[in-house]
Amino acid sequence: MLRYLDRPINVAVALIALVAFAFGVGSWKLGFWTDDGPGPGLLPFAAACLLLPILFLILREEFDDKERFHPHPLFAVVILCVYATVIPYAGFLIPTVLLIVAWTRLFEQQSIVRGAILSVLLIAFGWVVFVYLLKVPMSMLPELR
Amino acid sequence: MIDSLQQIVYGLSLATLPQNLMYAFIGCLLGTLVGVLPGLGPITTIAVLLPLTFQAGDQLGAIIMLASIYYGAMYGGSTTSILLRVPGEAASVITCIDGYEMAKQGRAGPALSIAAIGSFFAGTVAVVALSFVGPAFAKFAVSFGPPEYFALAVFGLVLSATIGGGSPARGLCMVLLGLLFGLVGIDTITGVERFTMGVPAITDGIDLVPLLMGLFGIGEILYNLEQKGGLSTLTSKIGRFLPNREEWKESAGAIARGSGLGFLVGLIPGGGAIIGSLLSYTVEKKLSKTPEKFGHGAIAGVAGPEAANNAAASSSFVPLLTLGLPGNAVTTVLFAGLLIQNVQPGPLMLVKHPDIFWGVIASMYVGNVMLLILNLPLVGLWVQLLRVPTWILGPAVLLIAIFGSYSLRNNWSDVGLLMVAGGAGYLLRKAALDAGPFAMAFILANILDTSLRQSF
Repeated sequence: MLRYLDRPINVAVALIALVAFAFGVGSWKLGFWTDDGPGPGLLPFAAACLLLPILFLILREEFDDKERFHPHPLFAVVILCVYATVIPYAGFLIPTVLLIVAWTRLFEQQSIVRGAILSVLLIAFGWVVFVYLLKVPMSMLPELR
Repeated sequence: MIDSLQQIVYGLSLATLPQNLMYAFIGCLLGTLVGVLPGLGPITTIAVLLPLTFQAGDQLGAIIMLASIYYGAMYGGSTTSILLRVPGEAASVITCIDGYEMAKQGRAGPALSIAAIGSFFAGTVAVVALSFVGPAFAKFAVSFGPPEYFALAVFGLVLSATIGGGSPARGLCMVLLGLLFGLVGIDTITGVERFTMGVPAITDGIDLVPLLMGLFGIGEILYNLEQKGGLSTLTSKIGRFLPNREEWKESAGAIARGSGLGFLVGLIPGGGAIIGSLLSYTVEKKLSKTPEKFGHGAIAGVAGPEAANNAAASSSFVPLLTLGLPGNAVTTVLFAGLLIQNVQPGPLMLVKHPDIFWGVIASMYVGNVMLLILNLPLVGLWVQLLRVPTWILGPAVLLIAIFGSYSLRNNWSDVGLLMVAGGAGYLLRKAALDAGPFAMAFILANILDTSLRQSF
């Protein structure tokens, strides 16, 4: 099982098959035909049904696939998702400083001080461009929301 | 003919207004600045910088800035192809072959300048041709009804799936997946919610800009995390800047042929620029008296494909502006930019928004001139940018993408979508599934669905 999941194409095919199944069920409920012609479920149902044999074809393709997952990007995806979950509650500043420090430390092997300096500089640049110049309202700290 | 000329003059009068010139300048500068950074191709550049264009004062200014970012990013992509052998997009792969060899021989200067001059010439030829072909296309397409639109959209999607690189099955898979996600939201005909699962944030559909920024921008950053030591940094010298007499002689014909070929191929929805540059390279190698030099630093192998690439990039605006069908992943992002500015590309654009149609075409002339003026003297600066360490680049692009996606609706849910799309972009890249056909199908999904149902 783990060997199967090591190949990105297998993971992608499995996820796409799940998506196709979910959309297929959803479109079934929407209906394929109305008195005036095709219903809202027809095209998505057709697309979902077509996807399944195509996914089968992809799995059977002889493809020189040496790609394997690398732990860094997978860990980065987790960090980014946690960041996106936390940021509405914690404001922009603290999660973003932590994100950049963690990013530079874990993935770029830079010191925490370097990461902290970079985060301050980048956030200051972004704040000047977006918040100050372009007037985008952004909650920087939780108390100020 | 005279009518077209009058309209071009009208367009030029709009594009050369001081504020529009300023937007074109900022767009070219930003596009080149970000596009030249290693690992960031034109599509990533445009996707990441897209939110900035919303801040331009008016529709035309925003679209001119967007188009200028596109030209700048294209040029930036050529620079990294030549100096680092890092193609910014598939079409630049051909440039790498001889461009990088030239750079290794200390002839990076002539390679860069011939790429800029070839792109300028091809871009100008293509824009002149576009001024005449575009309205003719639009006039023809005005009579199209839902069945024709459905057929055209299917044609475009099948072409993009089959000739965009990779296997046809993978391309078709991405098209179908794009269709499914593109249909999320309220059905415009019956008013029924489709696949929203009661989530209010996606009632109007999945937001396009964070999705594209995530797929192409964040996905690319995540993919680059694996390339430790794989991302090149500039070590060789640039050498003299301008080509010598012999190099000019070798390049002139290649540029002219590449311009014509690129323009014709770019009109076809799908993968015009890639095919254009590949065709041009093959033709130049066949016509050359010294074909053995190709692959070892032949300047015609840079000049022809670069000209073809640029001409195809300009002519790909024809199906976009006149039929409302984006021909490739980059024009898909531009399509998104137009929609966000409340401009619906298509045959009626010429009637409803003549100022934007002609303003954008005229801005291409302006953009080409501006890029030549900007890039030839500033090549030293772009070369310095190639030395920016990757540990600064990744977080910088990440932060621009976060600020950009949040600024769309001042809503943190867009940042969440950005991250999820980023993870998906990385997975697709690893699985050799091209996100380009996905993006095209996502945008065309509602057109396809509506035209199918209205055809009955």
